[in-house]
Amino acid sequence: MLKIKDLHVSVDGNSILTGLNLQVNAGEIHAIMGPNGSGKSTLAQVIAGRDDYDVDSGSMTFEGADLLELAPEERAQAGIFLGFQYPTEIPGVNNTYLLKAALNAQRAARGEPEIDAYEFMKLIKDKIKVMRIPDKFLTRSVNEGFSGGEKKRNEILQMLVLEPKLAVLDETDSGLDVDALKVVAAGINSLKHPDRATILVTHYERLLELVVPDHVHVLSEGTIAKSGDRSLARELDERGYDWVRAEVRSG
Amino acid sequence: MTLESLQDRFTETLDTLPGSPSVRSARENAMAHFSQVGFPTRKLENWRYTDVGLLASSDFDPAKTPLETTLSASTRAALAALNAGDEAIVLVDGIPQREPGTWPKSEGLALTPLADLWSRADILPQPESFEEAPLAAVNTAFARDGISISVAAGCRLAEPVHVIMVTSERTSNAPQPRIVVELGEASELSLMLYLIGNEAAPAWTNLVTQVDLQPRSKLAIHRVQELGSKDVHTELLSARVRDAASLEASYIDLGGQLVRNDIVVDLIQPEAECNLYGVFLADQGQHVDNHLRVDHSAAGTVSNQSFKGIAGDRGRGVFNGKVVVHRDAQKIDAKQSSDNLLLSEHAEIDTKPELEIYADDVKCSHGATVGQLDERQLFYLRARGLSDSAARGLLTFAFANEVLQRLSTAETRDRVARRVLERLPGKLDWDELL
Repeated sequence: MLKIKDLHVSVDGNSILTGLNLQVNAGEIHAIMGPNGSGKSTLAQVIAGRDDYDVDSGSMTFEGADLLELAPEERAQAGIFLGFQYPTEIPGVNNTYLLKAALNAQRAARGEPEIDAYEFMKLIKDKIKVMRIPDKFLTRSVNEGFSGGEKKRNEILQMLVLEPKLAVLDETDSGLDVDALKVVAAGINSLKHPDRATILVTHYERLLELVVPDHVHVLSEGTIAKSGDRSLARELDERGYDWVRAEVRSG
Repeated sequence: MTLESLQDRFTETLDTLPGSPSVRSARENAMAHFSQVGFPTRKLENWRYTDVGLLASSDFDPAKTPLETTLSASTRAALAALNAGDEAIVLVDGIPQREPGTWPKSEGLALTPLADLWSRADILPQPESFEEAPLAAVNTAFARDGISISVAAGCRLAEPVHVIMVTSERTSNAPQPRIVVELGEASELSLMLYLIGNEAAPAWTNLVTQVDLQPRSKLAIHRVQELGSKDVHTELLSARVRDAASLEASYIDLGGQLVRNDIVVDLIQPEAECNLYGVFLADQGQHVDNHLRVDHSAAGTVSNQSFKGIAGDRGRGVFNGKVVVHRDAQKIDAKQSSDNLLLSEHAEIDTKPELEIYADDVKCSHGATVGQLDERQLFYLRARGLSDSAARGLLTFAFANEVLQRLSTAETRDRVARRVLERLPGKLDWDELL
């Protein structure tokens, strides 16, 4: 589904990703872990098409299409969803409006008609129940005045409504208490499907107890330094990241 | 029209202008004043960013005798689209259309054409001074008519009064209308004021609105300007707000080529309050200048100025908001904000909030921003699948909507919002936004 080959990315001439390779197949859940500053968020944003980053070389394809040629909205319309680490507040734009506009933009790109108003409300009511989001949030401006946890739940709500093929969730677990973490995990798990895939970008192992990854990768100094199964996540949780870095340096 | 021709036209038409001898002398004084100062030039600090030189070189003629007016089909359609109801007061080229029985009737509400009032009363109400707004002197000299709206003490009108000013398609058209609003003690009124132009013949409308609010009265004026793309609009709102009375005024400017609004409010007694809001859209060479002055002349007075400008193409916007806190006007609260969006590199915004404070126990804040759309917000929306232009349209609308939301009648709010949306990029199902 997603194939990244020898990806080099920089910002203002500073290298962030230095030859990253990653392949994500349909049906898989990948966790990308790593210390602060290792390039995790950069990777998430580059997949979604943020143009603050310069892709210097390498390739990135999604279902065979060259992602680097696509605008952010085209990537979203192709089925890529980025759950933001810091969801942006948009005063004056109502949450429901955005959900509907986003859904219809993606349906239009797929050649489907706009969703019927009744069907849409039914869909939303279902999904906010899963995310335990109160009704009143629907009429509020996007993320405005939401707590950190509410913003993250709102991201997952958007994901549930849009049903992406590939969800890239950037630190969706940070800033959540145990109960909220369970709600978010349940939301992510509810989308699990052989045709879909998820990339969880995270610092901590605790989300991975609830959303079990098939593959765990450690990102260090701009490249994937180590890959393994879920036991690697536990090992990182116990031993930290320094040993991985040491392994990389000693070759 | 040059100053000399204006003086000549005044002499020629003075005898035909309505009013008692004292009104006549008020006109003569106004013309004498204007003869001294002339059309404002950019050398004056208050007119630094706005050049009305074209008034002096154009053929706009404030003295032109109103004819029986014919409205074009498009103007009629625009009037109908306002949905202002059958009781709207329509002024064509500043002259109220008197169709008996069609004006709103409500206990305590008195509506009188000014030409009638001037022949009975001894006064031509006039601004405190023409210093702030020299063109108001031209209005005083040439005003033929207008409307007086007064509400008796204690009367709270449930329904808004709609006033529609429309310009006809005759040439050299330069209406000088006047609106006088007087609210008795503890009365309430909401006034919708629409300005409609046409594309066939440019007009210069020079409006003066005078407001006098008695203690504890409440007035909301929502003024929506949708003039033609070659029209010139100059305006003075001059308001006196007494003890614990409150004025809310929102200025929505969508049309016109050159627009200059002077909004002058004096909070003359304790606890008086004013909230002044504005939204303008300036593109394709439009120029919109909002000039505000609020005097805090008494203790415990409160003012708020919140203006939002959107300039695209070669549009230009000016905000000059001044707050003057007079000596002994303690415990006042004054807020000013001017936020502007530049949608094109050829657009220009000049913004200048000013404070003059002569008291020591006051709370004043002011801020001005000029910026582009937030890149992070744009990326967020695009990452959800909205096209770049839809995302830009949506964010621009959201910016204006903070002020539009304050329009107190739902139909007007939706209509104005729709008009704003029509001017923005992107094609979303905008109905959902309203």
